[in-house]
Amino acid sequence: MAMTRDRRSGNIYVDRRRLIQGAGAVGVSALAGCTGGDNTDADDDSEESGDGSENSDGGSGSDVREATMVSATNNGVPTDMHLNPIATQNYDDIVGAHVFERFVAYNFETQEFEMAGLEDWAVDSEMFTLTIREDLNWENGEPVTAQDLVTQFRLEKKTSGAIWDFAESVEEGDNEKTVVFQLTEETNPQLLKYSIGSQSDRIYAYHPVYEEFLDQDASAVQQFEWEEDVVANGSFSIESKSDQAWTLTRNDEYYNADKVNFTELQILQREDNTALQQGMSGGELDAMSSMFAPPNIANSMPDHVQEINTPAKWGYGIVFNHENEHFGKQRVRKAIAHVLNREQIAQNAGPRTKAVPDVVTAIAVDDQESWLGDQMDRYETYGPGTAQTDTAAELLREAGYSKNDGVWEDEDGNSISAQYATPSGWTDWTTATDTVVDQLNSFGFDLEIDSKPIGDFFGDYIESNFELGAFYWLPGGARSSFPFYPLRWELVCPDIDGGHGFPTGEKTIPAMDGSGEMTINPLEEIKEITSLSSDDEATEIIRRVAWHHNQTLPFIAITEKQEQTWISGRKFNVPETDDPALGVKWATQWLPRVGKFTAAGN
Amino acid sequence: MPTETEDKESVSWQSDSGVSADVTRGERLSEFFEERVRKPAIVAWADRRTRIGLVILAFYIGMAVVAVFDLYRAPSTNQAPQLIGPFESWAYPLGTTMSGVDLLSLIIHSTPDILLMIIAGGVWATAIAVLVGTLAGYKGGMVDRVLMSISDVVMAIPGLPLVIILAVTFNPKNPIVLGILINISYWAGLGRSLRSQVLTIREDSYVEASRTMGVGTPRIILKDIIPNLMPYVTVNFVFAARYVVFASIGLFFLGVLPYSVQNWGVTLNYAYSGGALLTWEAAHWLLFPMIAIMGLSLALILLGQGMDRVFNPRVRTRLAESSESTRATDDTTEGY
Repeated sequence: MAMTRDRRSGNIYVDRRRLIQGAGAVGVSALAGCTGGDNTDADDDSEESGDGSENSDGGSGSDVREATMVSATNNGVPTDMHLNPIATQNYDDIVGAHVFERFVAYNFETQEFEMAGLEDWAVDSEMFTLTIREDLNWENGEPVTAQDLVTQFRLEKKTSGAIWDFAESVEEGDNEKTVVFQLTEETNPQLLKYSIGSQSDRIYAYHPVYEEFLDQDASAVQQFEWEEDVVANGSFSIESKSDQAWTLTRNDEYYNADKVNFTELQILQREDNTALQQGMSGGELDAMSSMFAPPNIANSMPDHVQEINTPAKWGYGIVFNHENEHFGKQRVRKAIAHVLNREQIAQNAGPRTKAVPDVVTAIAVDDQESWLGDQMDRYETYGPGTAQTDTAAELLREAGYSKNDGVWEDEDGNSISAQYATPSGWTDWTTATDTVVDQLNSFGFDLEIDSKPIGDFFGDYIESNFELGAFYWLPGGARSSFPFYPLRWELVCPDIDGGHGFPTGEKTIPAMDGSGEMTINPLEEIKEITSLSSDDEATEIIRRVAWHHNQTLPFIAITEKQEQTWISGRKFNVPETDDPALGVKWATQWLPRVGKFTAAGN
Repeated sequence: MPTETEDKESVSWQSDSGVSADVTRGERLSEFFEERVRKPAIVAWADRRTRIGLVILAFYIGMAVVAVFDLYRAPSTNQAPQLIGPFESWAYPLGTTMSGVDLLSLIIHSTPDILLMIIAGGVWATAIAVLVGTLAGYKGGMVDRVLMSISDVVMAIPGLPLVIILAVTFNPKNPIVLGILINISYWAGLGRSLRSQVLTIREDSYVEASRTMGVGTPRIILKDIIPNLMPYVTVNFVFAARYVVFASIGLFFLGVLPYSVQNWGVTLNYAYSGGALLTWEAAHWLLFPMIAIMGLSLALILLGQGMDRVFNPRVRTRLAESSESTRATDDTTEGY
């Protein structure tokens, strides 16, 4: 704490340290040589580093350069933001990701968890044990202990943290580095791991700061704005913040500090996407954790700017009001799925950043093959790259519709007219909506786009005041990799309070093997997964429920978004494009800590 | 008293062009045509600004006709390859958007709604303003105080936030309703300035004469006052219409106004987020809707300025060549 306060109370301390570093540079530069150095044409970064000289902090024994990595946040003006992750309002997660270490890191490339702040995690019957890294310390040198984590999880119990769906209590284990959860019942280990394994799950609760909230209401800790003396355990510590930017400095106490070879990280505040794009292409920014850029912009980026795509496990889909006279009919929904050319929609809405699922069900694009396995061929694809109008027409005729003057009408002569809801501000979505509506109308539907401000959009969905419209078909985040979450999510859709009115009771659908029928209660079956401890048993259920979604279409999955993360090799050494480390979100925060984003020499 | 004897001889107080028995219906019609159509037309056409304004406006009306009668294909996604540049292909002269929509058809098919919207907005703003302004100005007293208080209140409401709130609440998609909504409070300022004009006109001798003869208020307002306000009203009609163009495009661009088909503002928004500001290959996507907006706005400005002359009696008389006496003095003002 004292050290932090020293750094913040004035610049004297910092200046003195820099002075010492500068003086030392003369002596050590001969020994230091260049690290990395595969980027020989990189520009000199003299304007950021002051003297541009190479320095060593002497502590870790490695070569630390007086260089600044510049990134940006669009979360808000830094002086209004804080770093208490449990108080989600005004918490700047982009900065928080550099300051607080995560439990584990999910690699979207290898589809596996990598240990980070945790050394190990284990599930044994009704116990879930976390082991904290031996060398994980706070920036003041104190170790991160079980007490810190117990405090954090107890506070998260007040705010209904994800782990508390399964856990009953949390205690310190055999030593000060282990934490043990007592579970309510035997629980699927996957669910436990995903409940603390997402990018935003961080170790942050420094006990001396947070202990006062333990015996207060949840609202107390949720209103706590941690701005002064933030104690870091991640790769960077907070130096200062202003209206324009956050300034962070390398955390010497970080266990991987020797991989971070530059002294400063600056996170500018930029609201406007165009300004971010210009910053990235003009060389102002060295990294952007997430920034949308259409193909023409991405192509116009200088060669040293690298785009990293990771699946968002989230994307554009169609949601139906299942109580609607037309869209409540399974055959109408299937006909719509057949008519849509999903690849064309993806092409229009952002060809580089939108992936199209092969099978229409609630499993993310990259995970379909591993979960559906050899049975994947049985699932209906609904023609991702073609408009299967003949099949669709047949389905509509079976449902009692007929085509007159190019328009489909039901037995009473009513056309399939509806307002197609779409949020007005989300441009890539409105582009997708334009294409969907054009495709369906040219087939003989009578749809009209109804663009609404985001508040009304959600409000109408929650009140079931819609017919059909755009909505995300996956809830997002690493968690959506485990099909349990998205399969259940599409059934109950908590984000709109179940406003789509999908009937979840027992129903009869065509059998998976193509002969006869099967009965299934999708919600009951998916709930069984929570208590299954083996993946094999879970797989069987997941395939059945995925089949149910594939046949009944609570949603139609159109595209899955690919996050666009950007790094620039102008002043920094960047990894090869096929490096598996790029699969961890966000690369801008992960790469420096594993030594794959280092300040370039000279 | 001589006047009393004259009175007894039943002198007609009505003007020559009135209902005198020896003027036929045909003559009346031709005079109406002469005074209200031909002369204004000559005067208007004589002004270069009006001429250019009218030509441009005719071009837009032509585009609207093409759209209404479906003489050019309707915009649709993937009707063409994506992001073709302008003038690269005769099939898509202005190029295409990132969704493969023909930009020319997008611009043409946006025109009818935009024209309807600006006419609705202009008519609404001027009609209410004329009604309120003349009534308040002519009647005075309590009527004046009430009407002016209302318009003061309306003027005090910040216009843009009001439009945004109303648009979000009512979610109107009909272009006529949208036009009215955008100009919902425009009438207040205009009504107030019309009132002050009426205050001077009502004291004019011919209005006083009508009043003395016992002509009813509606007739005085319609026959004596409003014709004198017409120059001011017409110019303001055009400015109100121009305001609708700018406000609607701005609000569409911001994504505040609801829409069901793309229009210039929405297209600008798409182009902006599609990177048209930063790359040449998409620049046309931003440029052509902007040219369409500027053209219409320019036409309205020119027309507004030119129309001023139509209602200027001196210019009008000279150009219609019915008076020699005004020529010499008017020549000195040439060039304005």
